[in-house]
Amino acid sequence: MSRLVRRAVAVLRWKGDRPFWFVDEGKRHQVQWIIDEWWEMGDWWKAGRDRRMLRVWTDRGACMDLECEEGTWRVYRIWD
Amino acid sequence: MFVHLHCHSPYSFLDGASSIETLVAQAAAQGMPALALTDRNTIAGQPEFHRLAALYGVKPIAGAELTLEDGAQIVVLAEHSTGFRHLCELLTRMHVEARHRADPRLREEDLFERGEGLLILSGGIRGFVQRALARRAYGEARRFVERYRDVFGDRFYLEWTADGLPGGMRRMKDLLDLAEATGVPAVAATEVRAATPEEVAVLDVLACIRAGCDLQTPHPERPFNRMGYLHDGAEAARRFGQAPRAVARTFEIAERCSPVFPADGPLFPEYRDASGRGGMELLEELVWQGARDRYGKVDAELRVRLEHELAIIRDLGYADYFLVVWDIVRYARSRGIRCAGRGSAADSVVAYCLYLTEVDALNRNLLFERFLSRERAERPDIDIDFASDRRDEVIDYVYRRYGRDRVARVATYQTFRARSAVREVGRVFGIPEDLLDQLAKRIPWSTHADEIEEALERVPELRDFQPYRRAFRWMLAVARQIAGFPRHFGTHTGGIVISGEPLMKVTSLQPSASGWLITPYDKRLLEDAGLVKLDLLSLRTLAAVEGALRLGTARSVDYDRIPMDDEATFASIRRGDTIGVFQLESPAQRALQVRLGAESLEDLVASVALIRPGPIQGNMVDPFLARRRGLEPVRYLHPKLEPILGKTYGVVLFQEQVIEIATAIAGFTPGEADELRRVMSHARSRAEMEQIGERFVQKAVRQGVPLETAQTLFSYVRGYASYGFCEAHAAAFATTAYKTAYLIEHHPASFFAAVLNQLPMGYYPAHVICAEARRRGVQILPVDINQSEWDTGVPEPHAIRLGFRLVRSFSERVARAIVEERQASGPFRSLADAVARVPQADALHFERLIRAGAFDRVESRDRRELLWWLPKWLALRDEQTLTLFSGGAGSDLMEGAAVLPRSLPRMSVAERIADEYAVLGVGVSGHWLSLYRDALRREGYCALAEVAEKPEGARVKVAGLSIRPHRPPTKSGKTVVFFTLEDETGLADAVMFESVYRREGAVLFTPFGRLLGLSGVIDRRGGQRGQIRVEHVWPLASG
Repeated sequence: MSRLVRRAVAVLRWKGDRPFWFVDEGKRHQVQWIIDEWWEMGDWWKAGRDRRMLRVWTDRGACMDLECEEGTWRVYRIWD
Repeated sequence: MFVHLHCHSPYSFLDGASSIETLVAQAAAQGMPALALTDRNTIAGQPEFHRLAALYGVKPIAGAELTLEDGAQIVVLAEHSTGFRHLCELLTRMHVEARHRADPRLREEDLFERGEGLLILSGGIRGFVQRALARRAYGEARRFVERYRDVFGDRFYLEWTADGLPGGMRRMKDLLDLAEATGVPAVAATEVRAATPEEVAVLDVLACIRAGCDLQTPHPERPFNRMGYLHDGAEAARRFGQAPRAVARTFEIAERCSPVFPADGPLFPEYRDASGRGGMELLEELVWQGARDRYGKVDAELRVRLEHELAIIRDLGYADYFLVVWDIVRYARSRGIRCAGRGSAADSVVAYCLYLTEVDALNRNLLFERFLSRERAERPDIDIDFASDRRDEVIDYVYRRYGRDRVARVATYQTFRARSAVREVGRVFGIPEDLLDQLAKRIPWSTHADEIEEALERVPELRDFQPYRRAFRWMLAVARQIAGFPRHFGTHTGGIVISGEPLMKVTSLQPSASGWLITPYDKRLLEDAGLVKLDLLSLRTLAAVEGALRLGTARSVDYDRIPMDDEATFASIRRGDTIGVFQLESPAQRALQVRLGAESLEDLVASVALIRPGPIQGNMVDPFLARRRGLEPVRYLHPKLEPILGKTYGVVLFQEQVIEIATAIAGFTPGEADELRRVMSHARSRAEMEQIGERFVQKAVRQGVPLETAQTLFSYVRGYASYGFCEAHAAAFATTAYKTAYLIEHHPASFFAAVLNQLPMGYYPAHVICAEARRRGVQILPVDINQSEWDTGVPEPHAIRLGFRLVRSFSERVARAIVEERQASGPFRSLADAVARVPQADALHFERLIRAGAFDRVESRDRRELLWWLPKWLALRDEQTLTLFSGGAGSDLMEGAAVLPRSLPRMSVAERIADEYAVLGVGVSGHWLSLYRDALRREGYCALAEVAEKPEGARVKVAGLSIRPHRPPTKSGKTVVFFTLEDETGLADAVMFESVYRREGAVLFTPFGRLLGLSGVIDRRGGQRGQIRVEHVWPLASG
C-alpha cells in the first residue's frame, strides 16, 4: 500500500546529484539505500514537465518515492 | 570514446523520429568516430546511411534489429561484406516465410547457421535477456546467454542499457552479474530512436499512430522518457559510469566492423546470346544492322554519330546494359507486346537502331551527352513503356532469363504528405475525425507535410479552418518534423533490378502483396548500393491502343504505319478536340492546341514540352505562340543563341537547349553543363542554383558576353529549372500522342471503348469519355445482362456497349460465368432467371446490375421492384439449390414462387441517374443537367453546346458538373484554376483567375462544388475554341 502525498522537501545534503539528507514535515531523513531511479516524460503537448524519480529507503525506515521537477524535490509517494 | 550501436531511423516505420542525415550529423557533431544503423527487420536505410556517413566523416556500421520467433528482439551488426550477405539472407528468409507480412520472425537455428561475420547484441528492453531479467527468470536468461555464447563466441555481447525505466537499476545490476557469471562481455548501448531529447515528442506521436491510440492513452509502446536519444560521450560516461569497460567496448566493436557499401565490383550481368557472344562485338553488330534497317544506308554523318556513341559506351563499359535492354525489348516485340522507349534514351541513335526507342535522334539533332557522357560516368537509365495489360509477361521473362536470385522489383516508399499527416497526427492529438476529414480533403493533393501551415494561409478553401489554428499547432509542428518519413512500403510501378551476382550480396528481398520479390531499396537508394535499375513501365495508353486495334473499325489499322501527316487528325487537334489523346487532353493542353494550330509532329513535340511547370513558370508559352504565328519577331539575346533556339522561336523549351546554351555562351564543359542539368532536374536547393548561376555568369562574361545579357540568360535557365522535358522524351510522347489522336479521329468507338477498358487512365473519368464519344457520334449502349461482356465492346461501327467491368466492384469471374451461361443456355429471360442460372453471383452483384440498368431490357418491372424481390429470390435459390439445379426447372420454379409485391413507387429518372453514376460512373438513362434544363433555361442558363457558337467577349451563364479542377504553378505565383464543365450537350473548358478564386472559387474544391453554376466571358485567345473566363461561380443547389 502507498499514499500519494506530493509535498516539497528541503534537501540538506547531496550525494552526487541525489538528495542524501532531506527534511519532510519537520523530520530529517537520511537516504540509506537507492532502491530504484527512473525518468518520466511529462505531457509535453500540455507543457507538462519531465520528472526524475527516486525510490529510497531512509534511516527512519521509510520507503519513499522522491520526484524532481525542474530542480524542486518532493516526496511523491510513501510506501507502507 | 563511445559509439552508438543500436539506432533506429524512420525506416523502422513509426519507430524512429529523426532522419538518417540528422542522426549522422548529430554523431559527427559529437565527434563520434562511428555509428551503427539498426532498423527493425530491414536494411532499407543502409545505402543512404553509408553515403551520408562518408560525407560527414563517420564510419558506418551496417546492422538491423531482428525479431525472434518469441517476439524478442536482437541486434545484429555486420562485421564485413560476408556478414552483411548473411544478414541479407536472414532478412530474406524472415520476410519470405513470415506468416504475416508486417511481422517477420527469425528462427534461432537460421541465425546460428548463418552467423558468420555477424556480431550479436542481446537486445535492449525488448530483448530476451532483459525481458527475462525483468521477470526475475534468471535461469532462462542464463541459458539463452550460454547458448549464444557457445555459438558465437567472442561475437556475442550482452547489451547493457541505461534506459531510465522503473526497475532498470536492478535489471542492469543483474545483467552485469550475468555477464560476469557467463564470461560474456557487456556493452553499453542506448536504444536511439531520436537525435535529440526534443524529438522524442515526435517519437511519442509516431508510437501513438503505431499503437492506434491518442496522447491521453497510456500504452507500453509509447516512450516512457526522453532517454532514447543520440547522446554524447559525456552522457554515456554518466549513464554507464558503473562499468567504463562496457563503454570502451562500443569503440572496439566499431573497430571490428567495416562499411559494406559501395559493393565490390560491377553488379550488372554480362549478356551472352545463345551462341555465347556478347559485349561490344555483339552490340556493334546489332547497331550497324539496325542502322541499315532504320536508315536504308549508313552515310558518313550516321557513321560518325554511331561511332561516337559506341566509343562512349565502350569506354564506360555499358555494352551489357544496352544488350540486356535490347534483349528485353526484342522479347516483347516477338510476343506482340507493344512497347516504346521514353526519357533521355531517345537522345541515342544507338538506342534507335536497337529499336529501343522510336525517336530518330540523328535527324532531330539530339545530343547524346544528355543521355550518357564520359565526364558524368553516371549509369544510363533507359525507361521502356509496355502495354499495361502485358507488362508482367515481360518482367516474368526477365526473371526466367537472369535467374530469380538475380532479379527483383524495386521498392517505393509512400511518405507522410500533408493529407496523411493531418489524418494520422491529428487523430493522435484527439482532434475530431470529421474535422480532420474535411481538412484533409481540402488540402491540395501535392502539399507536403511541412507546408500545411502555409497552405492554411494561402488556399481559400482552407479559410474555414483558420479559427482552429491554435488547436492545430502541435499537429502542424509534428507534421513538419515527419514530412518525407516513409509511411508505407510498396512496389515501384516499373522499377526492376538485375544483378550479375546473387542479389543477396547487397540486399535482402521480401515479397510484395502480389508475390513479387522486392528489394527494400527504392530507386534513390539502389545506386548507392551499386545496383542498376531498369524501368519497365506499364503504360495504359499502349494497352488501350492494343485494345482499340482489336475492336470495331480500328481492326484494319496498321499502327506502325499510321500516316504521320493526316490532315483530319491535325484539324481535330487544332480544334482542341483532344479528350482521350495521350498527353494532350488536359484543359491547358486543349487550350494550347487551339492557339498553337499544330500542323506537324514538331508542333506536338513543342506542345508536350510547353505545358510543363518549367516553361509555364519561365513565361515561355505566350512568346512561343506569338512568334510562331508571326505576331512578334523572333529575337535572340545573343547571336550564339540562334542555332540553338532557332527551331523553338528563340524560346528555351527543352533541357538539351539549356545544356547547349551553357556550353556556347558560358563555355561550360560537358560535365559542368550536365551538373547544371542535374541541379535543374532534381529540384536541388536554391543555394546550389545560385552557385552554378554565379559560375555561369562569370564564365559567360569571360567569353565576352555582356554582364546583363549573361544574367538575363541565366534567369531563363533558373525559371526553367526542375520541370522541363528533354526533347527526346517529348518527341517520344508526341509520337504516341499523334497516333492516339489519329485513332480517335477515325475510329472513335474503338479507341474510347478501349480506354473504358483501361480505366483508371488518362485525365478523365468514364462519364467524360462517354460524353466525348457521344459528341463524336458514338452511341453509348448500357450494360445489358444479355449483351455485355466483361470488357466494353464495339458491336457496331458507331456504338459502344458498356462492359461488366465498369460496374463497381464487379468480379471478372462472375462476369465470365454470366457470359458462359448465356452462351450455353440462351439469353436470360428475367432477373429471377439470372439468379437461378448464375450461382456464382451474390446479392451485391445482382444489386449492382439492377442499379446499372442491366435488366431494363428483359424486365417489365421497375428497378426498385427488382431490388425488393432480389433477396427473396436469392433465399429461394439457397433453399432449393438441389431441386433447382438437378431438376432443370430452376427458373420456372423461381418465377412461380414470385408473388406480386405490394405497390412500390417507381424509381424516378433522377434516382436512376444517381444510381448509374454511383455504380457505373456514367449516366445511361440521361444526364443530371437534362432533368433541370427547363428550369435552367428559365433562369437564363445556356447549354454548353451553345458556348461554342458565342462570339469572343460574350457573357454566358452556364451550369454543369465540374471535372478535374486543378491549379498548376504559374510564373507570377498566383493561382489560376482550370476545369471542365459537363452537361447533357457536351463539355466546355473554364479558367478562373486569382481574384475570383479567392472570392468565390474555393467551392470548387469542396463537396458542394460538384454541380456548379457560373457566369463569365467567352475568351478565344486567338483560337477557334472558346473557354469561359469565370467571373462568378456558385454551387448549383443554392444558385
